[in-house]
Amino acid sequence: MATSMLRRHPGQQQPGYSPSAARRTRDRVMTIVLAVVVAIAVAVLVWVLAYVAAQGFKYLSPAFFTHTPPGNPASYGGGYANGIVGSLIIVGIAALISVPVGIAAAVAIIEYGGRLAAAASFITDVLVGVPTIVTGAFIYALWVIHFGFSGLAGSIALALVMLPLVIRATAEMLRLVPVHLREASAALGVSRARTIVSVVLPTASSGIITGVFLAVARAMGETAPLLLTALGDQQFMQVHPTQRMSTLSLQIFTDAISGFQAAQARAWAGALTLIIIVSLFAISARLISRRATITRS
Amino acid sequence: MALAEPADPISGTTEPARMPGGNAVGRIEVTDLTAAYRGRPAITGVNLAMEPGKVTALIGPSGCGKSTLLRCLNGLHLIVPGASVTGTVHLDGTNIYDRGVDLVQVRRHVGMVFQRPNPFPTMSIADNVAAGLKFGPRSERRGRKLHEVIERSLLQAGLWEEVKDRLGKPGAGLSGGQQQRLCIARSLAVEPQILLMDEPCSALDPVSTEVIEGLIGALKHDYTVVIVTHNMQQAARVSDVTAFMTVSSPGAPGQLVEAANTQELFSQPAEQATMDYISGKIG
Repeated sequence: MATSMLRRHPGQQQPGYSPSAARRTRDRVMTIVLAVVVAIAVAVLVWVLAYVAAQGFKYLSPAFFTHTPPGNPASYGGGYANGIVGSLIIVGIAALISVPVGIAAAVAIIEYGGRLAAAASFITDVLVGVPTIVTGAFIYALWVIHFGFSGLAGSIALALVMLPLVIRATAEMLRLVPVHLREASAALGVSRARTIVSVVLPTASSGIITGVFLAVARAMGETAPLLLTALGDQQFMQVHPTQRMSTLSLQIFTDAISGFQAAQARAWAGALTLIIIVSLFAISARLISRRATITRS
Repeated sequence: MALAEPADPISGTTEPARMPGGNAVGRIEVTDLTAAYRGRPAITGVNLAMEPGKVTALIGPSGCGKSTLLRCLNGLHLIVPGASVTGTVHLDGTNIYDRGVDLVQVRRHVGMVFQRPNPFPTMSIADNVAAGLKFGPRSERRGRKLHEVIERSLLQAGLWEEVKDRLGKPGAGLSGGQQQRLCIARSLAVEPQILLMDEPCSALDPVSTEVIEGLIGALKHDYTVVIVTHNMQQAARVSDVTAFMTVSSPGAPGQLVEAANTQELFSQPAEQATMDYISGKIG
């Protein structure tokens, strides 16, 4: 049957195999509709990127990365050096908190199961949906009221934002590790805990790293929880996390809502910087996951 | 039975007892074994002894529970959530399902090779072989040189010559047959007395199958080998004793029909059901 289809000459009618005219039309129309929808979706994203890039490059210069903002927001010059450093420190600490806890929670959920794990899994799903301003308010009430605004408070808030993302990504990857690898390890007389640490987690590592990078990228762009915790320090470089700290997102926010053209120009350049940093994270996540994917033998 | 030393081999504190002839101890005796998944029995009422120095083949149609029986011999059956076992499996006199017996320790003495070659994908050839020792109890590593264990195990598995120059390369880069021999080497590295093989050749080509079958013939002098196969010719080629299992109806628990010397079972089986199966009437 297959050969007869292959040998069909053009124009030769083969009842039963060639689609009807109506069906061919429908096929073509649907193809066009889908193509248009995809084009619209992509066009909006490209538009955003292109607009930010166009506005940002007007002001972006090497000095933008090495200088703090000018004392008078209305004057040109200066950059977001303090925000860039602050973002990296705050998000770095947040990752240090959320990654170990998140991976451990995912291991408990997937490898051990039980009622506690089911509850943790449910709470994770809820936590993903909590607006980040609520997370910020929560840390404000719990931490900032007692210890004041600080980069550390911002880190804790961002850790809470990242935690469910890390748990979900890790759990997803642990589920992908084939049962036969766990059984191979068990059959060697290796304990369950050691199997998880030495076989399961290394096998899932590339996917977990990807998930962590995406969570970090997400945290980089968060503004709302930081307004209530790290607060920002518009003028000065601050590297000590117990002090108020600025981040890229906070500086963009403050400058964007100010009325000064110079400040708004800096905000655009900052937005572009943020997009570049986040893209770098996304690209490195891609590279890592491509280099070592789980081999399904 | 009398060959086993009184020292408990399961505790892992004593060296595995070896017979003067070089044969391994590792007699398995299954008594009235029923294994179930979520309350549904997969095999029921199995009685069978597996002798050291011999290859015991488990044959039977799909779903007859031969793999389940094999997985009961090292307690791997119980890893599946909802699985349960009643009856006993005595390993040199110790019931592995007794309270107080650690199945993780039991598996140090009962190696297993699976249907599909499953080397650890993130590890090199050498690390795959050494995995059982590296991740096992520290006491077992003492006094052992890893590279010697790796070489000995790969030699035993007949893989040394092919991989000795690329021990650091990923184990997943080998061919299917080589991967399966790597998995055999990995099992042998922890020095078990028993080697369980769950259709070890069904994912391999005929040439690799022949290599593995030759290997089984060599390994049986030092190990109790139990092999599950649905290939009757293979059972006839490699085994000394064959046990035939079947199900009375689809979905019913599998039962052991008979076990006998392989030649005997294939030439003059005692049961009609065995005759029907080996003559191809059912199947």
